[in-house]
Amino acid sequence: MKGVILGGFLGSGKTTTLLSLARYLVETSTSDKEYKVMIIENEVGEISIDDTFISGSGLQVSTLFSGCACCTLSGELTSTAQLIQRDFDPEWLIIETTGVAYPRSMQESLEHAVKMRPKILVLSDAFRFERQLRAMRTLIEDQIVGSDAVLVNKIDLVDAEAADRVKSLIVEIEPNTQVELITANEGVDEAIWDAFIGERS
Amino acid sequence: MVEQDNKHEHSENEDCDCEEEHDHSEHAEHDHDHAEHDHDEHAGHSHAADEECDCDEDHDHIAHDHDHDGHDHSAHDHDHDGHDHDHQLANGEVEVNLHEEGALIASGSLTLAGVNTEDISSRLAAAMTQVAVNVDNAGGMIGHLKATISSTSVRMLSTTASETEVSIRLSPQSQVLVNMVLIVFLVEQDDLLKWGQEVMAALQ
Repeated sequence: MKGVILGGFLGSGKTTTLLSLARYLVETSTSDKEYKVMIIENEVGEISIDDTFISGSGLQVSTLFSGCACCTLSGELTSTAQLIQRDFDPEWLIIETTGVAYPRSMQESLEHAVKMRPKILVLSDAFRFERQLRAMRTLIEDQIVGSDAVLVNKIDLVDAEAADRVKSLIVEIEPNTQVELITANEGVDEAIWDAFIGERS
Repeated sequence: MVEQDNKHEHSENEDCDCEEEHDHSEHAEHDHDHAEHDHDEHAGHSHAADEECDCDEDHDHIAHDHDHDGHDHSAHDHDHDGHDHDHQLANGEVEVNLHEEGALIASGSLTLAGVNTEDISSRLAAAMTQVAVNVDNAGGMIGHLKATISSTSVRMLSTTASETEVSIRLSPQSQVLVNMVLIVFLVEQDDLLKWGQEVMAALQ
């Protein structure tokens, strides 16, 4: 089982991007496993919003409620991942974090629990990034540090100069991450997914 | 070059008067006893929730930051304003909770019967827009405002008296379920509760 942790601040477009990634993984899969993709959806509120939307797309979702799985519910994240691995053994497990979660903590927990080191993909909101970075610098930075890729979303809402500025800020925070500019509502180019996922075994 | 955060320290009740423009959300060296942790501290750097910050610096007071390494939240006792994870929200009820990163989260759920989904969608969009305006006017920051509307209609199929024909009947009313989550920063909890309730009221 391989994994992706999809992180990024609130409203950055994680759910929209998740659907694109999940479709890509299903359509390009060469695995004979019954389940190509399963999703763990992490909700910060008491009411499930994102998994309702995702379930409508025909994907199976196991929802964690009320908190950040990397912190207050780390037990449930790892036990859910273990259960999924044991009972379903999908080719890919995607964990969508809450907007105030720390993906690296989740990565460490999962590496220990299911012996898998998931890739970290972070979404950033081009339109609000600089303001969010000023207001919540440590959270935003810590979400980006250690990421394998950052997708700067909503570039249709900003000019090229602003988009480049956001890209530069992200590279300053994490020089080793791959940064791409997208408008998730219009779909994510397959080439981006090819580069992020890499070779399929 | 990453802009250096000024990580100077000051005691909880001490005004910050370093005259430097810096982000007061950075508390990486702030050590406090979580057993007595009051979430009012999350309103910003260390001053009482209703105390003005007079450091004369333009900064946001969002998100008390602390190092999660070695920080055990399972033993963290804090006041969630009586929030009970087992509490089931009543139809149309709104509940507001404070998250550890300073986010206020209003959750609500409403089931309606015999309504037009398009009409509900329009009214919900308008009501959520009003919440966004309210947050902006109050000097807050929107994390995410989101909702789903799902509708179910029931068709009943049954054999009729003849037993060789199946009749299909549509239930007289479809049911619409609205789920709402409002995640915002830097507003009063009571205000967010009121705005969430206004959203629910706008749909009924």
